[in-house]
Amino acid sequence: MNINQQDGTLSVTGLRELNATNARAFRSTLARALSQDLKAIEIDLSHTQAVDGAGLGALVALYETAKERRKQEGFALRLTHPTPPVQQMIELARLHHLFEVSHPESTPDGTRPAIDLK
Amino acid sequence: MKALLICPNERNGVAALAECVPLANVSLVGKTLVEYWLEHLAGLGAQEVLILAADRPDQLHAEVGDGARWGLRVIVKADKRERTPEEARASHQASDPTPWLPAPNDVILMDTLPTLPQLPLFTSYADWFAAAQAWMPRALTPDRIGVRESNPGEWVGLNAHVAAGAKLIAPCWIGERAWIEAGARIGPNVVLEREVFIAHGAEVSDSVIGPETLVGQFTEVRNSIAWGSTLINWRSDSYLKVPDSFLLCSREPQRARPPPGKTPAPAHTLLPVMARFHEYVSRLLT
Repeated sequence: MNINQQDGTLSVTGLRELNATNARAFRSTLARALSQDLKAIEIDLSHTQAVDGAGLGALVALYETAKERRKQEGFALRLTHPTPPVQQMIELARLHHLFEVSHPESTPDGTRPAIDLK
Repeated sequence: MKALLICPNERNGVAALAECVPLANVSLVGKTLVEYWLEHLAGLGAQEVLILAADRPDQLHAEVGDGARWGLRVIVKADKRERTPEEARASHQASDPTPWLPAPNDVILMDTLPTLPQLPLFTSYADWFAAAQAWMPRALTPDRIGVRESNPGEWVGLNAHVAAGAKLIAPCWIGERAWIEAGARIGPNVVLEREVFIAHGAEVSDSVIGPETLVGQFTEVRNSIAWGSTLINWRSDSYLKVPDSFLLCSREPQRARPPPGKTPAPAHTLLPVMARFHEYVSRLLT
């Protein structure tokens, strides 16, 4: 997993799995990376092949943190490029009602839009 | 009169479904494919049916037994590979003096439902779903004991339980001994096979839920075929094994069979987890 911060956005890439084996570490790592000037977190799920309940819990915890931030500072969380199985898990757990779910096939230029926190 | 059925073996278009169950045994609106074909052949006057099965013939034999249910003599024969109808005719019919049903009903590859030859079942998940939907209004035959149409397009099977606070949206088929908790929303275009358990607050639309599958509290299943823990999106062909049983699983390992007359306590071991999940999601959604 790679984390980069630029222009107030924390980008997470190279996440191969988000499940019971790394959900706790994922949460604590991102929590440590949160800074006062942070405006957005962007998580690239294009290489994520496995997500389970613990991983979904980590995303929701991040959502809650983002929600708290948003109240005060206009904080945003974006999930980008979820693989089809990950998207299935997100939908099964109804988290697509919490996050704005992207439909990559619907973009005219073929690029995948971000998922913006509602 | 004699007839021969060939079981479909491997089909790339529905590989994940075939992992769950042999395709001839796949349940479609309350009965398996082979049951529909045996009924059909019995109606045409067949007395003896030979079934060639390359995929898990033991499971097929357990399903059909000796055929007495249909007034037939049924023999299940394990085969090394799936035969074409022409091959089967050459190897089994040519040297058999017994009278056979007239073609094309003498040798049948079970790739479609008996009266829907225009709808292939196993070319893709989308085709399989389309065939199940087309079959739903035809499935209420006189031999379906206890099935009732509670509202137009809403069929509810024997001993199925639909809680007062659950919502059914036609068309939908609720299989035998299915259990739907309050707050669940089922439909449209949904088939729940036998003994499915839909937990409180779950929503199912444009989907088929396989036999003995538990759909957890506040989950949402749409555009899918859910078979135990296997979740297939029939639109995208994406599938996965859901790792968390409180979201989706087979009821078989968790089910506690209640004594006669008692209310079943399905998946009771999962209820604490499901309750926590429910509380968590409902809190976030409000």
